[in-house]
Amino acid sequence: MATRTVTVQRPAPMDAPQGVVRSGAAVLKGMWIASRHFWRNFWGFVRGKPTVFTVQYPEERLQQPPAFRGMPVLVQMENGKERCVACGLCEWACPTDCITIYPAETDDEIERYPRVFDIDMSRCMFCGLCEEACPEEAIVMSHRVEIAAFSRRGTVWHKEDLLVPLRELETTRFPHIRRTYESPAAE
Amino acid sequence: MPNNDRLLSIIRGRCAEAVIRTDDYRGDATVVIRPERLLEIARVLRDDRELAFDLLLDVTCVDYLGQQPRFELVYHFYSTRHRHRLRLKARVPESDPTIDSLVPLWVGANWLERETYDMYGICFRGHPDLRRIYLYEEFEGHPLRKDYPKEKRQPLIGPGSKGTYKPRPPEIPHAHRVEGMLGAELMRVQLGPSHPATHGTVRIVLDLDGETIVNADVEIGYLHRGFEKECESGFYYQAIPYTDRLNYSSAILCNVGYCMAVEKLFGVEVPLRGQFVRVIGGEISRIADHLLCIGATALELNAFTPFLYALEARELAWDLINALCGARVTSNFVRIGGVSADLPEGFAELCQQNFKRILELVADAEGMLLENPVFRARMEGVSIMSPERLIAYGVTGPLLRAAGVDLDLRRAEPYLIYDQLDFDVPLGSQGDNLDRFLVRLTELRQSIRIVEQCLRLIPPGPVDVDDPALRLPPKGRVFNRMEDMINQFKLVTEGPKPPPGEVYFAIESANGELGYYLVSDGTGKPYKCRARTPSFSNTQPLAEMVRGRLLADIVPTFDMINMIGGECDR
Repeated sequence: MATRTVTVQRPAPMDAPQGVVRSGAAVLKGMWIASRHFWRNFWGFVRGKPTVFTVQYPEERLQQPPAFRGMPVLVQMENGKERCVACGLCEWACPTDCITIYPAETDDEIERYPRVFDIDMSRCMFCGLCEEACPEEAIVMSHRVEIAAFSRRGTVWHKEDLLVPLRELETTRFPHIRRTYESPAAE
Repeated sequence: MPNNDRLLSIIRGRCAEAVIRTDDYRGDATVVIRPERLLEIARVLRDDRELAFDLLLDVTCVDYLGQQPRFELVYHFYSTRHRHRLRLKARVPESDPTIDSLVPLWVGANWLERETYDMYGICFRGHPDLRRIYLYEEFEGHPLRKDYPKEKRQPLIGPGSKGTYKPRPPEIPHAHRVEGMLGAELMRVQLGPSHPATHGTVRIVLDLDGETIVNADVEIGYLHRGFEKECESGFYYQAIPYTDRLNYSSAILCNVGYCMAVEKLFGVEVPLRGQFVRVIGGEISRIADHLLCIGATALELNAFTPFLYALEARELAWDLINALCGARVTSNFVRIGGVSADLPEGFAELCQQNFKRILELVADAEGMLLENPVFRARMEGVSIMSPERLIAYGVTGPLLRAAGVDLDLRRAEPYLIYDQLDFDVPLGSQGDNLDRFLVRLTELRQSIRIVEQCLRLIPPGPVDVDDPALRLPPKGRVFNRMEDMINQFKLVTEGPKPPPGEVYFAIESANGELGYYLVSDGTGKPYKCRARTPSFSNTQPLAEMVRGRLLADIVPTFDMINMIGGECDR
């Protein structure tokens, strides 16, 4: 075992008279540290390369990593239809039961489709278990996060709202999906 | 590994007629006893030199509805001297759900038994203060009983409702009631539930004599949301997002603990690379947790600037977690039988870059605080508690290590790959708030060291076990092979099904021992899923720590306990 215990070094007690001197020095040291941060940020501002940590949302937005899990969306294929075949696995996997699916059939090549596909975004916790469960890569987490609504009813997203073109997802979430789930590129 | 056979034979020898049976399943030693002999056996367990179970970790109950006797009390013990564990079980019938209280032996049993009373309606004979702990007095029924439906609604209480609500002043058990020094009456002050100087929703009812605290009663439960009931109603894999919300400042550690407990039920181990990824994620979480604790302490002692530095550093740690698993707080990273994703590309460089800045910021925050006379006066020598007393309360983690007790599960019972790593376990010398602060600072730096080592040593290979009974097959195979498609459907709709049995598994989380006690009945849903969370046990001694001290001492003490509401109230 390579671990060992160490006893933490306590700073010397602040007894008078040295304590008074050290307290004064501590004030100066604090000012030195704070002003160093100030000048760093100031020069960053002057040089046009801001070092300030805060981001002015919504004017400025962070670049999210490919792994980022935003809201779940439905993949829209080139022909404008959803890839989903309404198997209902995401409904099973969802811990909060926020997905509602009513399946139906058509005469298309993919004959099953969801007549209704609702996600209650006020219950969804962006855990990504639906994406993992999906055997068709039809429901994926996107980089979209803005789900605010003016009413409770407005937080329920229907199929038309949830469809996101494959093109947009190819540049955001799909690289992560391909890598993680070892799935082949789309046909 | 501790020798369970020897341990069990000692116990059988010491109290033969009280023991019904003993077993050893997956390395957990279990003793089933007659309930009327509990106090006697517990005394032997604590006082016998060869057993020396000084730490009562957990008290809980399992409701076997339909069996006789119905309720099974479950106690978990740990010995800090011999480093062995024991589970003690005793059954009580539904008609008389009463058992002796362990408060005379371990003072920390107080809250644990109150919780069991609250959730299961078990009465503890000789308990000094058997009240509900999470729920309110008017609550009808005991929610963790199996015949309590999850959807059941409770009557509204409060002014204006039709119920039997009577507003009443909060009562404190008045064992310590004394006359004020000036002969005047004591003043009742309510700190919280939402107080700017305490992070976490907790109410502390204080009786003050001038500025001196005479009585304190800590009231928790404001964030109670039925973690255990929720876990028992879903599949094993559906509980993982809920474990995120236990300790929300170090979610990955909670994930790791839960998934490893389920894996222990299955008896499987994840591949080496998966273990490394878990350690990396967990240690970054620990860094974030300690940074929050340090920053919030500074803030609540009126030092705003170091708080901003610490939070900027935590943001950098969260950026790493975000790159790893796609969320900063609710990571949902670990899976049963692996992790949700391998390390992203360029992760080692990102770590190197962020750690460099984190260390600079921590040094700045430390430089502003440690020599500051105000900070020192409020931390030094405040709320000292002896190691023996802390252990009697069931305290673990940095709080206990600051009192000089060498108990870090990463070192005491190395899990994952911690036995291959090189790191220091910091201990305090005096056990005051300053030591607690310094221990956290040192642990943070050691965690950075651990992650750097892991990134250097991590081997190539798979991160998940290739077992269709546990882990979803890769999507590429699901698209192309019928068996894998069937596996995918079976695993999602039925959940992984561990063999019947019960396990307890604990990891060292940022605040101490985080243990999960799982009971499987062979189905896809846990029969019982209990989280033994460190914040719960660590918050309990607060009242005693601050008794006799000034009102202002509550704030640094509460900060150093680092109560996380989600974990304490579950």
